[in-house]
Amino acid sequence: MLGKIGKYTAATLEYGTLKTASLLQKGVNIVSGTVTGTAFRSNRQPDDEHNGHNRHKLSETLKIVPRLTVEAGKYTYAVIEYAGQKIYVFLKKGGLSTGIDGSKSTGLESSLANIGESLGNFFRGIANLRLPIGNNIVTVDPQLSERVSHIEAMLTSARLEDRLDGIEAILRNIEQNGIATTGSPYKDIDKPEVKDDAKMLLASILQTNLDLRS
Amino acid sequence: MANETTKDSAKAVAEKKASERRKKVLNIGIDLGTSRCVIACDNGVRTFIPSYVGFPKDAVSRKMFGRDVIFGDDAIKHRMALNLYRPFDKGQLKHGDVPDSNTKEYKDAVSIAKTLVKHLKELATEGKDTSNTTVRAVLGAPALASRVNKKTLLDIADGVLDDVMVASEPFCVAYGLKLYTAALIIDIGAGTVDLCRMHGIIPTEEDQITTLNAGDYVDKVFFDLLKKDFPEANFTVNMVKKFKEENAFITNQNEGVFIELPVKGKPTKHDVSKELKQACRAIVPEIVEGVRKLIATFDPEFQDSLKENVILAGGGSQIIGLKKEIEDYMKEALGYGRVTKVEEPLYAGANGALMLCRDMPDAYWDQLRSKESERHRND
Repeated sequence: MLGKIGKYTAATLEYGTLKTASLLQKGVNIVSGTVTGTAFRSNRQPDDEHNGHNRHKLSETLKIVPRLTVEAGKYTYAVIEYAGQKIYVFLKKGGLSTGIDGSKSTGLESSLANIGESLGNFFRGIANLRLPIGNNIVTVDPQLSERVSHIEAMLTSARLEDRLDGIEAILRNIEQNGIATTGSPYKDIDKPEVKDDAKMLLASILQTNLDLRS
Repeated sequence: MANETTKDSAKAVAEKKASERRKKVLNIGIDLGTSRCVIACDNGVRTFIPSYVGFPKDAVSRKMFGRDVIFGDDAIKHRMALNLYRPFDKGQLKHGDVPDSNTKEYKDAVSIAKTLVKHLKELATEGKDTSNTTVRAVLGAPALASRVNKKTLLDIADGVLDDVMVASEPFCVAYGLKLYTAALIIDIGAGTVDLCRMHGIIPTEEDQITTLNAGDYVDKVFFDLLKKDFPEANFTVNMVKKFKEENAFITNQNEGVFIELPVKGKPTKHDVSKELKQACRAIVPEIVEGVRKLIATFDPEFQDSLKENVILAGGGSQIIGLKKEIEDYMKEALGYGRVTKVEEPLYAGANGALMLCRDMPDAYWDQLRSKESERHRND
């Protein structure tokens, strides 16, 4: 599903029936053609049936081919949902040529939570209007325009620009310093800085657990 | 001579400690749920399995599976050939509250749950050798789990995980969201609904409410309603549970919700919107009453901030329209209320438990280990 609304280009991608992905690029134009994009593996895989469990590891990705071509933009954005139970939000500077690598995105999850919700609604809006799939730019009819205005207002009220600026700063930091939360198991990671209010809670938890062993 | 022996002994202890320090640490947040067990680990592994453990019934099924124990979806799928167990009920170990922990019943229940925890550890470590790794975990427990039940959780983890702490499940959710103060967490699981208000300290009994009408209760009500309204249809609780998980709603939508159920062997569509909605609504009264109670008994100066920050988590939070239903109720009964659904309802508890596990200073874990050794010596 493909659409261009104002300065945003949106596409939703489906893989099987279990997973959907949504992509948003800021300030880009849709052109015809097909390119390979990167999405994330579903947490339900054929070999899992044998193992008797469903698993998901952020660092593993699955290549899919969306029917979408975009020119390089400022951001690539993705939301992954699984059976309505799990949502990942990913953002990467640059166009599709940069790809989105799950292993480099975990650190962004919490900071993008709110923005993910706003954009999730945005995509749901598009899906409900059933924009045609194809290589042509979508012609927006009057009814759709009304909806688009609403979406634009919603995005404005979500102060998307401010948030993206904030996220850009985080991205810059990650690009410079790398991500500490991924990589091979048992990697030595420095203990996170714990604030005083959290320290008090941790001490109480410890005491409760010491009492349990008395 | 004696001095040298003492020195050697001290050196050995210091070396042992240094060796412990050199070990890598794997932190795991574990939510041992009635319906699903969820883990989040700091090596990037996040996964869940349905909380089922199955053992082959006889030699034929043992041969068929090629394993002695089957877990999760696989166990449900092949349940005809298995002795199937669901170790947790109402958010606690089945038989966890028996007065005598030496009974066979209790020991069997712990053994099954231990098997499940071992499997979760294997998933977390991806089957890799952990001899040079300290595996630490925080286990989420229902808000008002008794001391006996919390100790049972420690018994289950004993010998499987190196270091373990137990923390209230809704507290884990709050900690994961960094909501240490002025927040009310509603964690809707399969066995329990846990409500917990956060105000900067570890929640006490007065801050928490656990109700037993949760996801499983919805399944039961839905099943009973379908039995009553469609007596000719054949179905199991498991079938309606799966359907509920995908379609649960309490809004006034006009579209019909259809389920295909066999009637005399022939798959037949049934409009079950009325029954599903009624079943999902069944858990709402206790939740909103709990919300009212926790807000009304809070310091009046801070009640507004609590109303502003009601957080909905757990699989049950996926019921379409539940957020609005609670908000409407709060508006009517309390004047105002704002409910927010967590981004990852299924993982919220395990994520928070993982954060607790990682944030806990090493010195705290050392204290706990000493105490645990002492407990074992006394046993």
